[in-house]
Amino acid sequence: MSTTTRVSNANMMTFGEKLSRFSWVLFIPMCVVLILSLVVLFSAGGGSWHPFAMSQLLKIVLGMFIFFLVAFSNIKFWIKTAYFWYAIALILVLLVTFVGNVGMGAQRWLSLGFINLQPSEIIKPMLVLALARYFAWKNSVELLQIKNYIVPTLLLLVPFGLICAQPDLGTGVSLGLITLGMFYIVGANKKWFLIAFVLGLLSLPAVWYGAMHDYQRDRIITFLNPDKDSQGAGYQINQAKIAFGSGGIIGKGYLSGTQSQQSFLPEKQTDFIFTMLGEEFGFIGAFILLTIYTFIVAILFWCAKTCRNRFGQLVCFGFMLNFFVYYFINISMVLGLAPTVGVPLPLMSFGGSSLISLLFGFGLCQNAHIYKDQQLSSKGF
Amino acid sequence: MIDTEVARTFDRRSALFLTGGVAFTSFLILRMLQMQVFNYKEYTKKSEHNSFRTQAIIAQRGNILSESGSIISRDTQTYRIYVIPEETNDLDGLIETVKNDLNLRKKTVDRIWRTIKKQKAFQPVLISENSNWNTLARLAAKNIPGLHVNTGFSRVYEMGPAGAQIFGYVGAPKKPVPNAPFFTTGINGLEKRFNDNIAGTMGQSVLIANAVGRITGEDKTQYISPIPGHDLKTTIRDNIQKILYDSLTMNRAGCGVVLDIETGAILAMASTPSFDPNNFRTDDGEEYISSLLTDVAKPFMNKTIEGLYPPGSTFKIVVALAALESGAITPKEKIFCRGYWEYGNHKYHCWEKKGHGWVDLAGALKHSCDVYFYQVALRIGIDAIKQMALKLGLNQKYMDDVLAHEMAGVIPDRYWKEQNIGSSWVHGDTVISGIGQGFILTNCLQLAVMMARVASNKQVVPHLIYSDSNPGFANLGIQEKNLRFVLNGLEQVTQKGGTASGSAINVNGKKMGGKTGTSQVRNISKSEREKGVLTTEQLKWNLRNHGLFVGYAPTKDPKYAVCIIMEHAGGSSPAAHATARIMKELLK
Repeated sequence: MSTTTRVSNANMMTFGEKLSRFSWVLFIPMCVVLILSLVVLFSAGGGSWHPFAMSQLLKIVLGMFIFFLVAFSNIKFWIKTAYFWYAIALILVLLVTFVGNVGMGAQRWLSLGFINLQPSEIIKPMLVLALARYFAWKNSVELLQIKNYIVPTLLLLVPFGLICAQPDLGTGVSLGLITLGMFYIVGANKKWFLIAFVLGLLSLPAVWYGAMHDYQRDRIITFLNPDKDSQGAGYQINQAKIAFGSGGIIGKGYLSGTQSQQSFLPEKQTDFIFTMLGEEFGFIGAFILLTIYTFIVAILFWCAKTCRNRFGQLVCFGFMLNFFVYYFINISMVLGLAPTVGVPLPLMSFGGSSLISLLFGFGLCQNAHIYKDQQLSSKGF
Repeated sequence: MIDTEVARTFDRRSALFLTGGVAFTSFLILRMLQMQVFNYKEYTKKSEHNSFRTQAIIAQRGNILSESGSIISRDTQTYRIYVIPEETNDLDGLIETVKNDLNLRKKTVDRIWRTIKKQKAFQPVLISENSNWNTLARLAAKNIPGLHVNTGFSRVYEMGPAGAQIFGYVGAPKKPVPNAPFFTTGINGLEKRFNDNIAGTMGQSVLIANAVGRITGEDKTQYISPIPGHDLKTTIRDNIQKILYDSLTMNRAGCGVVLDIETGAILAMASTPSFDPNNFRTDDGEEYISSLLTDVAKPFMNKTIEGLYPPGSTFKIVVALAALESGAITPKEKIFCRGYWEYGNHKYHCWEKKGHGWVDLAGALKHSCDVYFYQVALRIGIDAIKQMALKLGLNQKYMDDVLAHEMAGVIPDRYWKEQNIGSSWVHGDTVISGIGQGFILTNCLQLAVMMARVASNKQVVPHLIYSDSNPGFANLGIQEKNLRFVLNGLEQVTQKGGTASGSAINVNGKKMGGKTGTSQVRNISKSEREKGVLTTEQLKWNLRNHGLFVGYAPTKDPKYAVCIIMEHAGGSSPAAHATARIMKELLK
């Protein structure tokens, strides 16, 4: 087949042109979720801006600044520096492995004085960026050759190994799913997935007995048999289920979730925020959020589909995968469908790293959308 | 533009993602529906259980009062410190801390450990009661998991052992009441029978607890205040009750009843050996209770209504009245006693081997001549005796709605013997019935009623619960002159030459009349000997006769009737002495 089009187009867009191409349909639902997060965090604080909502609002302001900066930047910059950002994120992951603060039995945070950075959140959009950069200028023939998957596999495996060792199973699995999704969409041979799957199954016992921590095994056992230990390892998930289920159709009312308000619900402001939403706003509230999420995913897919350059398309598609995996794992987890792994609910959970990483990702997608009609080369325009 | 082949791959393969996305999202929605719509009720129930801690507020029990309103049993406010073993991981450490802080004795610590081992881990174990409040506050401030302090009530029994079987005591209910540690209910006696009145109604306070069980507030809308129980006023006269009990303790076992003849009020009722329920909650409480349970003299038994005794010579009152009413004898008629009477092939002995010589009715009662009553009984027959016995209140239950386990006893006749013994009635049965032996069994209360009825010619019915109204008993329908003849004889019993001459009283000219009795103990000791449960010493004691006395005073216009039974006292004088002591106090 023909080689990939690498048309250089040095055409610089003015801010006005960029603004006219800005996707409001992607921006507005994102903002709606952010506002909803403040509403729920206000309740999580017991009907107060403190300690969560105000703090989160400041993080949103910082995140929005980054979002607009990225969205209206020149896409050339990201093509040139994709691997650089990936490397920075990887170094942060390395750092956290050795000097990170231990939280909930895992090394996850890097204290930068004013902010606790969670490199495992930062690496997600950076991996998408690096993979998009790598695959964007490969033609259909190259994309069928296994050698062209060696570098991307390494791009995954290095942070994957480090993060799983932290241990942060949730992020590790997310990174794996995003990468596999990218491999699949660019056209990797289906047999490879099958082989990888079989190899994965065979290595399970080794992982179970060799690599996993006791508490991780506990969590998985608990997930498979949640009633066995409703006060110990199963406590968290049982309480979450009680809180969510007792919300009913219309919920117990804002600020009136007995489970969340009386701190039966652990981690209600972070990983279990969906439970709190479900308790206070019921099925209707939870369903509305899920609908907005689905809408955002659909828009991201639409951005990918309509992008006329390969880089932008893969950035949008990769981020869409990232976004979907994020909330799917989180919601499955809090509804007791998946083991408790530390994955926040995107744009909703309290915490800066995940929020900034997501808004950075949305910024990249907006940027790609603004430049969707531009032909791009690996060197830039 | 994107490479066509690459673009085609994207289009083709994105279908899988779309399918997956729809499938996964539907999966989540189904799960949400399942939890929030279909299983909503189940989760709501769990959620309510989660956040609310219902705590019972125990109502103050009513007092048990005497006739004058003085207190017999009462609830007193108490500070309790207790442990719930399952709430702590370090039970040893907790007990050690408490031991040092409260200066607990080794005995107390042993008792705590014994209780912990005996009970289930969620049940509270009392560490200390009525401890110094400052000490408790200091302990409470340490916030040790599993250690609790609460205020509650504990029962104080002012009468101690005097009538403990009648007033009863409180204890933990068989089925523990949830969320109400140390809740007690009436276990025995009046405390049990009138529990519904005395106990009051529990209230509740609903506390809001968080996940780690810390109380964060109270739901005031669900608060229910407790309703204190009602007092129960009895007819017991406290000073008489104490004297009665004290007199009874002179002998190893026995019982006594004091009646107000006019109203039927039971002024005193006691049974020995007794027990002091105040001791149950002490460190030695368990040992104390088990020693009571193994005591062959049965301390928990209220012998005044549960114990059946042959009435012995006290029954001669019944025979005498029956004979007078039937006209079979006149008061003047004399019968010769040579110490025995031969009838059929049998020789019936009088208790006085020398014999009483010629005796009339008054003399026969005064000296308790057996020979006289053998012959009179045979003359009138068992049916007439039974009729009079029933008229005088024997073979009846009086306390059925007040106290448990009351026994009616036996007043035999032909039919009864055929049904219960399986053989037909013979004259010999009638003869020995004449002196209150044979098959006749009565309880102490019945004999007191008998005395009261004879003394008043009224259908006296005893009662234990105080009532303002005077029952106004119906006339018994016995000819006054016949009663007079019998009472004449009873008056002489305490006079010179009478069987209770040592127990004569004279309080401002007021005197006491009565009748002694000794009754042979047969069946009980025999069966117990066969079981081999008694030692030789106990057996000897057990084989001795019971001593009885029924008395009334004053002899002119009688007000009080008493029956005292001293088990295995050998003779009747201890019972007569005790009665005299009580009458003296009553007539003061």
